[in-house]
Amino acid sequence: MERFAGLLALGACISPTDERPITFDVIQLEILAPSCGVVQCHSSTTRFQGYVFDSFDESRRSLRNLIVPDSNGVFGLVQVMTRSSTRMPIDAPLPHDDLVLIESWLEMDTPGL
Amino acid sequence: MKAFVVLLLACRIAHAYPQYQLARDATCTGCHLAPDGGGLLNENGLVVAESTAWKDGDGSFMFGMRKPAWLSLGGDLRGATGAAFIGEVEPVAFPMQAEVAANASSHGFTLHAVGGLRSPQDQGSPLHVLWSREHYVMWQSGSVYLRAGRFEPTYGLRLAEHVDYTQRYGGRPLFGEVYGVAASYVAPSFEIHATGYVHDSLTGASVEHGDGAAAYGEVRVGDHAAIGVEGKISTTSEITKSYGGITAKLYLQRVDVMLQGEIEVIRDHVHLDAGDRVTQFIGYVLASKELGAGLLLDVGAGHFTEDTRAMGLDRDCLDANLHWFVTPHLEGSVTTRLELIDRGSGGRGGYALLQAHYRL
Repeated sequence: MERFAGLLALGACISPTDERPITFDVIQLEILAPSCGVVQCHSSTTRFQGYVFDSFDESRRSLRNLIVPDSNGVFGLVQVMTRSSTRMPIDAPLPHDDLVLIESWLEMDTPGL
Repeated sequence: MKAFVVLLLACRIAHAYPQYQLARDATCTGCHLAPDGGGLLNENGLVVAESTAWKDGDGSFMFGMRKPAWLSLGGDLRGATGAAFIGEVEPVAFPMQAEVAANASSHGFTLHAVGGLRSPQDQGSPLHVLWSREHYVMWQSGSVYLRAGRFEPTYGLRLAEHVDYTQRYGGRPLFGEVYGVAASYVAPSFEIHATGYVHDSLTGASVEHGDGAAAYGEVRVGDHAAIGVEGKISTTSEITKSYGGITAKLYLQRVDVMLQGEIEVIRDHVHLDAGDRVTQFIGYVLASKELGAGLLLDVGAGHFTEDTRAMGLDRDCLDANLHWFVTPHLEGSVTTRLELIDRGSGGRGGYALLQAHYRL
């Protein structure tokens, strides 16, 4: 929870050493496809829990329910990637800078989606 | 109470043990039927399995089940359980592989197929779990191999553990099989492999969504060293991925240690929107030593630069795996990983797993 709160507190503050554009292309290419869209999880063939992140088009569809903030203002995509238990992705930690990039992208109303 | 996570992530196949290459045989074909290794063992491979194991036994299919000489059969059952640390330490358990394989050979031609179970599709047909990961026809004459069908393009080190960084993030990922044609020349002093392919649009059951080509060449330097060069390109309407790299293998005879390493550069060009371009670097080194009594110890280290434009994304891992070949058919192993993001300041994780593998 501390990490989650800390991430929210960061808001759209991208690290000064992160020069990546805050676009859907980067989110998809560097985070969603390699971390979530692996073939045995959220891929076109397995479609675990109905989510597919291994192509740009499928990710766009899958993200629809994850980019809407809940009543507490928390985006579903951020919530599953920062919760303490069964954090996604399950097989490798996600870089803090990637989480900040995602939240910034969400706060900017998902450019490129 | 922590949830016991059962991950229905079937078919995490393993390929081969190139730790034995150079220490025992110069090429993968010294032990395997396929020109680039993995899968069914040939007669020498069975002998190696028998001599490596802690307990003696008949290493052939089903302990020597009678079958025609032109037919080779095999299969693998594999599963794992243990604990993973990403957010909290959580128990994990998952099936990895349940497959059978067959090779029918005559007059230089081979029909090859691997079939079994894969992850179920959410809300899909129950029959989805049945599939054939590999099926191809191959012609061999001496050192020349030609293949056509569904297989994984030959690229890089082809290490057994699919989580090794060059496998996980590089040009030869798990379930990267495609439909293609390939030519290989495999000789004791060198080998080259070239593949042209299209993605599997029939089943979509591949992590490779692009069409393209892959090539790998390896030259032996003396009796116990080799260097290789690799290249691959994959393109879809959304993205073109270009891969290039080098490999190196060195068997240190005096201490009986096998060293393998691979460095890869990946260049991604997104065709959509602003046309983003991303450069990634991957490196992995693995040291392996046979300890006797069927034990094989691997110690590996990996590095992955997710995007050269961001400094906080560097990912490093330290792996330690202990394989125990109990019998020619049964293998147990402990695999562990410590993983750090940005040297630990950007996140950390890891796992410790017990794996069991039964080869039919």
